[in-house]
Amino acid sequence: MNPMKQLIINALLCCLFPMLGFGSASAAGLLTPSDNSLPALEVRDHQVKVVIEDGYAITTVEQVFHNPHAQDLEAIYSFPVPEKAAVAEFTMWIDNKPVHGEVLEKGKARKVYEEQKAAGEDAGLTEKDSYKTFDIAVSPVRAGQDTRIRFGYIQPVKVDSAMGRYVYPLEEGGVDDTKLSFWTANEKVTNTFSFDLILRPGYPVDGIRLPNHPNAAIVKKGDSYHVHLGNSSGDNPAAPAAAETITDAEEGRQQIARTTTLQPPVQPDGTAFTLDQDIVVYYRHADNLPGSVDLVTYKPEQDKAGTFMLTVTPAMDLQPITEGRDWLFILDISGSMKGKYQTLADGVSRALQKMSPNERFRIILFNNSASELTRGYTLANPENVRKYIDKVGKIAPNGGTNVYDGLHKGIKGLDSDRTSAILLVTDGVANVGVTRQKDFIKLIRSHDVRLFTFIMGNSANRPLLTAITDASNGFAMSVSNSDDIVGSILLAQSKVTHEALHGAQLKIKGIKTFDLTPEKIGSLYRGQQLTMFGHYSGNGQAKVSLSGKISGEEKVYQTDCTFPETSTANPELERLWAYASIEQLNREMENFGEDADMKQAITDLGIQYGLVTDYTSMIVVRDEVFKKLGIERRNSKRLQREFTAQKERAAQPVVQRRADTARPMFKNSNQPTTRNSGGGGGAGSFDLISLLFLLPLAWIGRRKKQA
Amino acid sequence: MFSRNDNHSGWQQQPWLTAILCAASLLFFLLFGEASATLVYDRTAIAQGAIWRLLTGHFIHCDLPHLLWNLLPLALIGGLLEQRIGWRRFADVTIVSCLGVSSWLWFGRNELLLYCGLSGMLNGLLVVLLVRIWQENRHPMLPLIGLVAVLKIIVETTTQEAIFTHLSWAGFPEAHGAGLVTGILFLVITSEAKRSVNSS
Repeated sequence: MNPMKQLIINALLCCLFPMLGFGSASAAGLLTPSDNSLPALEVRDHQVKVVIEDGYAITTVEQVFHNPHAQDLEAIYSFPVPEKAAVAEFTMWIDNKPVHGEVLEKGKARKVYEEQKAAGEDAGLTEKDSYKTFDIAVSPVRAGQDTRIRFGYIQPVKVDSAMGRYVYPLEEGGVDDTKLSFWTANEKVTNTFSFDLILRPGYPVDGIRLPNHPNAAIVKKGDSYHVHLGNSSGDNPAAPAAAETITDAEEGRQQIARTTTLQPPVQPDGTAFTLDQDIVVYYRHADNLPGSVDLVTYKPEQDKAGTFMLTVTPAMDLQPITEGRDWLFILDISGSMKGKYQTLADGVSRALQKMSPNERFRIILFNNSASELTRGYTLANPENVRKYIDKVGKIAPNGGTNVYDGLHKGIKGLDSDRTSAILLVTDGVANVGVTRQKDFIKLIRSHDVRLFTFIMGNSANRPLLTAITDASNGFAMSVSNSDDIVGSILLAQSKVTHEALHGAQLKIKGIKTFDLTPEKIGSLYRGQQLTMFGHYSGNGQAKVSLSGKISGEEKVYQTDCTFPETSTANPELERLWAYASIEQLNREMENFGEDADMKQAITDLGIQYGLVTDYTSMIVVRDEVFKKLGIERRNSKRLQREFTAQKERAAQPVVQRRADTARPMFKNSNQPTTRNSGGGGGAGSFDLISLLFLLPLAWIGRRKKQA
Repeated sequence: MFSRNDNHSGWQQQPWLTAILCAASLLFFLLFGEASATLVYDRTAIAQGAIWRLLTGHFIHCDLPHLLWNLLPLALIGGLLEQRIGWRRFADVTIVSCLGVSSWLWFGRNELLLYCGLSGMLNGLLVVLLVRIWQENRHPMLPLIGLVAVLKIIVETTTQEAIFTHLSWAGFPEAHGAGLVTGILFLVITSEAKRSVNSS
């Protein structure tokens, strides 16, 4: 292809990008037009490093793209948006020197990139395609040469029922047919693939497990755990010489702290790794840990406001609900569920088997439209359960995704005399029928019902599904194909079958706090953590209370936490707070329509805190170009601060961030237990009644003396 | 059981040890604040060798109402008991009651990580006091008081809630039952020991 033709095709593609986004195919990878008009590049190396500590995960991915062809080409790498992830770093090596990206308003960043690309200068751009993908464009990858890039994101980690879960998302859901028809993804890593996760837990961990990667090497070194997965043994940090303990990944949950020799790396050397399967890491905290309150702060200057992350891990003191109830399963059988449907069917059959005979169920299926598999409410007796498990298993997914019709059909038939719960399982984007978020919310609010949503895969419209779930005071769970699906469903079922803390409110008194997010908590279900971000000024002890209603009765949990005068160990908190605020603004815009002020607020936050959002992108150009264009190196400075803090933390022993040790907020353990009492902290006290019956004792006891 | 002519049962004996224990509880609260992290029953710390917490945890309180509700009965029960059995036997009962409750927490409730408060061991002292006064004068109110104490423990243990107190820590009424059982065991063992000494 001659250079002129290449330029024309590139220009055409650039015109199409705003319409199509970069899109993605069925996995993370380098995108190439499906019509073979441009030759494919290679992902030569793909190295992932994850550190989980202090309640959040920092993921950095370093890649080398190789151009085996005789002409310079543009590389476009696309990957699914990780849940609650704030992309905060994009670094590109120019003349063998790393150059950190800076965040600009989206249109401006795109313009700068196009100008540099047209001029043949080195440039890189990271954009966000709504909830679907992050897309990285690099130009040029020189003929016959390599280009090295690195991107990084931060996200709060979720611990549910004492089980931590981290997902490195690679699998794309295949829910967007337009994009699929235009792009194919080259998802093979031709040279080195490695995934290294370091877990520095504040609480003891007794098992680590990768359900879909059973041969991962897991090593305990001092107070941290190292997980390694890769096709090269060259730089395996889980080195046997330093190993104290290996946890067998396959048996992780049961077999803990077993000293043995290191497992070989997962892939034999030289085998190409394919970026088409999520990597899911579970870590289970040790038994008998109490419900707790953890506080992480960042306040570099005592006179200025600081940022905090307060994580409440409630105790397991929510009681089972024994009354009979109705269950409504609303299942997505659209074409994109192929490959996931069997998993869904297994999960539903397990859920049906766990139901008691005094409960009833209905099953609604939807693709282009909705239909009911059952004939009205059906008693969950063994015969009916067997019958419908068989029926659900025989369905072949096809067609579009009309989520609204499915919900509408289910809600229409609710029996108002009984407690009902809706379990919605979907991987999709509502692309048929009613698709506006506010219509969904109106529908769900029209009935007193709790919606529990399983979001399967990485490409579902997570914001929409989360918003409608929140509107019903239910909960949403993301499920990867690499997850322990049945375990996830049973975990969700245990939430639905237990009391919840409804109308939960977290109050902090004694310290001035502001910019809190989330503003509204809603309900807290069994095993769920609550994470709140915010700013504070001053320092000292604050009274923290969590209140809400359990089965109609007011319940208040209280403790004291100390907010420090200064703290410098966790600068990443600023970005986490900013991202949480951006998510809140996005939710409001989805509910009430786009608003220029809110858009501007998101843009300002993105630029100030160096975050890629729907309205901001990250651009890399040569240092002199940054200077010439007057682009402030704000993100570069922030990254330096974060790198320094990360280095210092790595050199220190793991720090526990528990803030309620002196006065525990919860009495019970944070893990499921058959025991009803104990755990956490307890106190014994006499009371007025005791004193009243002791007074006669005093009189009787003194009588003899007087006598 | 205790003998009526116990060497230390002189009525003129002042309950100094009770006063010291009350003062210690108050002092711990004033010096170290609510639920002193160094003295409270902390399962993790005990496992690492801080065994004094098995005793000191009982004299630590999670807030001011907790302290006051426990100090008053200590003064009352301790005063009456120490006057009757003398400070040495009173020290024995106190230590055994503390260790009895701690043993229950350690072996019976391994999920409970933190505990504080006098009330568990006070139930041990109460049992011994009731029996001692019963030996002195068979007042009909005494079995009634014992019955109310037992019923209250049963109700609180069943509901897992303290009935009339609202402390900053969650109530742990099982400790009251553990104290009560410890007190009974103490009486049985000392009685048996005395009987075997007498028979020999």
